[in-house]
Amino acid sequence: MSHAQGTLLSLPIELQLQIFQNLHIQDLHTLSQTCHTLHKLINNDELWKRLFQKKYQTTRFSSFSRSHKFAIELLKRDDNLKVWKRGISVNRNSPVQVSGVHDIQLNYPRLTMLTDQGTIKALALDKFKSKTKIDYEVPVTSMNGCTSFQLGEKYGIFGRFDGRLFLKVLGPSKTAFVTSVVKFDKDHQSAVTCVYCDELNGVVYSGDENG
Amino acid sequence: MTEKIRLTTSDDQEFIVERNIIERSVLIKNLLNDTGYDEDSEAIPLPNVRSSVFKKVIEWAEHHKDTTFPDDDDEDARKSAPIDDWDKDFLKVVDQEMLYEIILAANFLNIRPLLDAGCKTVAEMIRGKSADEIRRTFNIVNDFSPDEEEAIKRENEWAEDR
Repeated sequence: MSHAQGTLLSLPIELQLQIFQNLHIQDLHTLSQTCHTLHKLINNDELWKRLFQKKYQTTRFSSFSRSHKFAIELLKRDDNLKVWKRGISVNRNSPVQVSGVHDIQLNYPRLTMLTDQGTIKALALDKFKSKTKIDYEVPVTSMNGCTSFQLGEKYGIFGRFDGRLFLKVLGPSKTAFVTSVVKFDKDHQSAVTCVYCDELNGVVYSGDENG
Repeated sequence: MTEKIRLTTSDDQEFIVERNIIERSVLIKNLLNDTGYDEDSEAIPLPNVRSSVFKKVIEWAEHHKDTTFPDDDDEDARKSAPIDDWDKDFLKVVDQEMLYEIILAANFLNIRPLLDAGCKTVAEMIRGKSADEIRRTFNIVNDFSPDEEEAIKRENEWAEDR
């Protein structure tokens, strides 16, 4: 469709997207009600992907909304953040900036985060003082495509999308993480969705997409 | 002594601009670095920038010659930063057509901070308006049938209370 020169719609799509990225969801909905062209553009996932990226600094998500659409994921996350903030008192914002958090696990008082770069960061929540720093970082090998993980005091277990399970033994905190990654002999057929380690009995349970 | 660069716009007007000013344009900067420009070189053609638009771009670059902008790669800082006050006034006085041409020129010349300011200015013109007001502001023709309009309104209703 062609539009008269010197109008908003005559700008290249790329530039229109750059403009709309600065808008809030409510304004985008209004905009989509103005005409067919804008309705189509705003309902395109590309715009939402960018908005998502802007907010979460990543385009990867362990689908919170069980959807592959950025639009739905973004809205769901927004909703949930609101509910969450209202519900329990989240009165402290961690001053720690971690970009591209892929997964997060809370094992009070320790909060562990798996980032897109394949490193694990841990925070000691009970040690929250005026200044908080990341307790330790664990560089992890073979972390590409990690779908699930569990961290204990001394170990980390990782499940991957291809069904493989890895174990990494962590040294005493803050010192080097000496051991390399150990691969379990038993693999899954599909993506690993959860892992759980029973420390007392020394047994690892895991589940995959096929149950 | 600062080096002067000659450039010609689409309407064959010649401009002579100081090198450190025109180098706000990453396109020109790379071009100058790659080709080696001297006094005898031909003027650099800018086939899709009109002289009136280029004047505005130069005016902007001259004002910002000592400004340090957030890093190009730092998407976050760039996008969340509010529009610079001077930029806001600078872009407010131009008409819409000129605003779009400045955005296009900034995009072509690869001047990120000006492009961002332009995009944010347009976004500002959309913010908080009703669909009708947006149509009026941007000369958008409502090409929905009454039925379609009703359907889209309903589709968006769940989002209204956000």
